[in-house]
Amino acid sequence: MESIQVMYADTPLAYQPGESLLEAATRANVAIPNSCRSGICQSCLVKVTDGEIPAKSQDGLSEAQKAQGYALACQLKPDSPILVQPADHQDQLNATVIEHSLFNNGVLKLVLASDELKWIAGQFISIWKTDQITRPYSIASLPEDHLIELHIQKHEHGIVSHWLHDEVKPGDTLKIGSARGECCYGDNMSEKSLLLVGTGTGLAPLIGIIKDALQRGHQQPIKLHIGARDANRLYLVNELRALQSTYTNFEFLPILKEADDLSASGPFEQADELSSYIKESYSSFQDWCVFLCGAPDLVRKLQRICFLNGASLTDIHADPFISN
Amino acid sequence: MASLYEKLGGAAAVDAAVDIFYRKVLADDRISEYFDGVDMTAQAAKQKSFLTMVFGGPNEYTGKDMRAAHAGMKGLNDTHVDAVIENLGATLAELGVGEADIAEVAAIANSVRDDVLNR
Repeated sequence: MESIQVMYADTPLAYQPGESLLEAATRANVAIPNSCRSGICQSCLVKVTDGEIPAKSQDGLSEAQKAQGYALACQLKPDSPILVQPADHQDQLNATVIEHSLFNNGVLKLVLASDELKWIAGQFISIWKTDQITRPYSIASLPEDHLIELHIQKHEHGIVSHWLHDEVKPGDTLKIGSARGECCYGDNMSEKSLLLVGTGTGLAPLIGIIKDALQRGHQQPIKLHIGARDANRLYLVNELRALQSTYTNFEFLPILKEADDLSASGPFEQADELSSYIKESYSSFQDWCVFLCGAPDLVRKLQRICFLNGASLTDIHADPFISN
Repeated sequence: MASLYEKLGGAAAVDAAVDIFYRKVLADDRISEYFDGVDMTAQAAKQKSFLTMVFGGPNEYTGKDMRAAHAGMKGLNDTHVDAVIENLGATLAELGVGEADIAEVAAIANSVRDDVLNR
């Protein structure tokens, strides 16, 4: 019997038919993190970059993970040649800066073009300033837009955000990585209501997810809450209000700490704590799909609140934004 | 004889059980503090492995894994293990599992007690 060519992390493995990728790698002393070795714990997640993926190796993964070629090494028994990489593997791609402008609140709108990048709304990419310095940014646009829209907040000591804000200009070529993350809409969510909560540029992935859901014909309610100190900190307000008047099942309700400012140009709520507001305004999160993007503390708090009040763990999608 | 894992309905049933079990654990003052600040997604995957093991499902989760997972958790003692086993039993009761099966699961969970407590 002819042997099947199996590559993991650019290393050819002496693969024996019938065994798993994990077994072949372990025999070759190539480490793949693992725990249950039974397709349950998902510790041995890997990414197939070329070749056919046996369905069994994707059991239990999310729609977004399946679409991106993720598989479980302990269940992956290829019967044709296959190229596999560690789960966090990224290709380096080139992108050209198309637009570089500021939103009303000072957040940078950076629009890139790249023929090579494939993504799902809600995912993020890395941008490399140098070979050592890289930061992740979420994508606000849909693949159908053919352009990659990123929202970048300038952080006081942020080397990359300062560089992107002050030095990068239209026409420049940037190095970006493959799209990652699974804070994404899936067709299996069509019967559920969607709750999206975020702060700051957490709006970027959330707006991508909302547009994706609406475009795919999501009929159930979609609620977006963005928390901010005051109305001047919000951005894309008019675009969100316009979206709301087109789609009656979509509602945008900002939650402001200081509500004396009426420039939010539409309904908003006043609350000191975004997490308490969410907890008190929703009696149960059963049959809700929840998306949380923004400050890590808030994301963790809301994750717990939603879960303890009825949301299933598999229906909570969180993307904590760690600012450096 | 079919394992409880098969009787419950396999992997999908474990997903449902994790939701119920994890909620009980977080709501239990005796042990909830050990879960503060823990990444919920990663924790859920570990619990899934644990439940699959105690339900007699396909797994190679070992005492060594349990030992490693609980190493460095300060003040862990028998009361905490008892609380977990109690929550496990309540979860199964909620899923309609009979007493005999619950006892069997508790016995499996009990078998890793010394590993959890690093004895």
